[in-house]
Amino acid sequence: MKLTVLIITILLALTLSKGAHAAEETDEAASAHGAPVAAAQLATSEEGTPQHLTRNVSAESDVVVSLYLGAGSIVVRGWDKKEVRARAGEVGRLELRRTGATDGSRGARRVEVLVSNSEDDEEMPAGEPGGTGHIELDVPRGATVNLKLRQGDVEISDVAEARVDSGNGDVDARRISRAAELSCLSGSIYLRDSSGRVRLNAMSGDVEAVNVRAADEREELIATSTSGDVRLEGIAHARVEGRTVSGSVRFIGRITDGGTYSLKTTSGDVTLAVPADSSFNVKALVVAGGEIITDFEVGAVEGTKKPITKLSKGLLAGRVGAGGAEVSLSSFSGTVYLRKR
Amino acid sequence: MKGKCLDEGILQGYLDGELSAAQTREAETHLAACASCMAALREAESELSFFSATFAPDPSVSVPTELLRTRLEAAVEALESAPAPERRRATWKLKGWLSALVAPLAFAPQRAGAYAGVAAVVVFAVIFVSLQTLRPRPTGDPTQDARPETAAVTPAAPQAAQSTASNADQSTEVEPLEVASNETGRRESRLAQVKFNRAATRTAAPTERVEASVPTPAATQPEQEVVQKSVPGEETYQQAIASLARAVRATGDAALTPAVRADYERNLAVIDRAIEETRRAALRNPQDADATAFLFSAYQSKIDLLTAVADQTQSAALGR
Repeated sequence: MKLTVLIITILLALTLSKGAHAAEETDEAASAHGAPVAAAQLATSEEGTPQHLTRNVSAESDVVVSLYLGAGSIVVRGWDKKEVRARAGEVGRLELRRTGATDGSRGARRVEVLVSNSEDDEEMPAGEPGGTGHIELDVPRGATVNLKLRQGDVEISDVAEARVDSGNGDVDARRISRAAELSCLSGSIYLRDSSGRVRLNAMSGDVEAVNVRAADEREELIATSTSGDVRLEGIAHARVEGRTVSGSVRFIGRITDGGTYSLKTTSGDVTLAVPADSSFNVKALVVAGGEIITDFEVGAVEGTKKPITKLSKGLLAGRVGAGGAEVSLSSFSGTVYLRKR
Repeated sequence: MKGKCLDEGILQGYLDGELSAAQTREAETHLAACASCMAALREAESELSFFSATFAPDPSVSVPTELLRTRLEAAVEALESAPAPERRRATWKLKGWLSALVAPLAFAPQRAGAYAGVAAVVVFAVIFVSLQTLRPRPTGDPTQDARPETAAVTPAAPQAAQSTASNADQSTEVEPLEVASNETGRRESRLAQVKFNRAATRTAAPTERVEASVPTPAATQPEQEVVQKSVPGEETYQQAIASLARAVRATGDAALTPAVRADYERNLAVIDRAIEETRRAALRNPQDADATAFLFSAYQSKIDLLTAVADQTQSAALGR
């Protein structure tokens, strides 16, 4: 028994000694071009809790940053520095690798964040799923960020472009200025206060976009899910598509003059809730069972006497207000609502 | 097994990949239809993840440390403060814990996955090339032939035209409003273009397949006069779906977690139901372009789903 205690004590002492040595280790931020950036800072965080690895590299303001993580969580924030900084908890190795053409006098244009749970990897292959852990990235606000994550949540904010491909976990994006392409299989997608081209696709989760506008009139917003709901609120794009199979689709907000809107589901409901003074041409359709409920008076389009109504199928097509935008609302077996708000 | 919930042993075996192929299929079928078993599976998987994370090797040391103890205590505290667990949870903890300990020693089939991924890419390439050769000749209809390339792949455009015709035909119910119908037709065409553009950015092969056999009104007219067993245009979707499904199957096991795989099966079932339902309506009334549009939309959803899953699985397998 005493021997066991002695052995454990010795092992513990060795461990603490090794940990303290590692914590003191600090590497200079290497800015060698074309080579893996070994900027290493292995230190105990200020809070005294888990050790974090920190890496940084100077970068162009429009740098493209990529990370492929096996499991864990990813937080990405834009900042005003021309620098990419990565911090990771509970990982063995963390590396920022400059890829593509490099210029000695400039910051990195492409950076791959490589993560491994082992310290022994001789070479960390780029583009392969990394280890598990919590990764935080600070990137220039003009950056394009590509993230892949097999399992875990993603939060990303204040960057120019966000491309996220997640297997199992939620994706939460805010203040994306140029383009957002967010996809996840099992999990929900939230996009808020952003602008530019938007494509959101979830398999089983909900998709929600709130307060999103186009940077130019050709840009579109497409939000799809299979069994989740699609909710679009405060969307200022002129081309909008919301589609799901068994969920519901809701559009809440103003209609852009001249815009095209398509909201479609197979077995859920479709709701369009817009201001009472809205103007648009509408085609509302239900095929099997559902009904069309409208708060708006739907009139005939120009050159016709009455709106189209086909009671056998559930079709209502006509003009609201002065027309202008084209709105298509369809549910195969659910109900379509046109609501004033 | 369909009517009976999965017991703990089966669920755990499924999670650990210990079931036979037949048992796995049965379990997946049941999971796709049973919310409570799905929840139980998620819980088990969550526990396994918890233990995997908690007992992950600490890279800086070779023996337990203060850090590890802290993590364990924090994790246990978090578990204890969670809502009261179900009865079967306790045994799962132990099994999950053991699995987590053994996991680092297990063989990782990454290379096998990579080879399967390469095979999937080859399949895609072959399909793509064959589609190029099957591209339809000009129809002679200027409205069809003059459309831009992206618009040419949309089945919605001819349907919109059919819709106009069918609306006008049913004069007992519909005021024949050509202007309204035409406007609607144009709008649908634009939206469909957006839809297929999106598919094109994700995967070339399915899009090209769609393009290859989109029916023109002239081509479908004779078929509508006989009893139909298929909806014109759906074969293209079916072929694309079959190709994608093969690609997913080739790499799926290596990349999807059991919970995601079960979720995927459940969503496939959702879409298949939608396809079945809309297809019945489309076959019942071949003149109903709206029903056909719903059918194609459901097919498109399946293509989107399979593409997303294929992206995940192939990326993992190929290490892209």
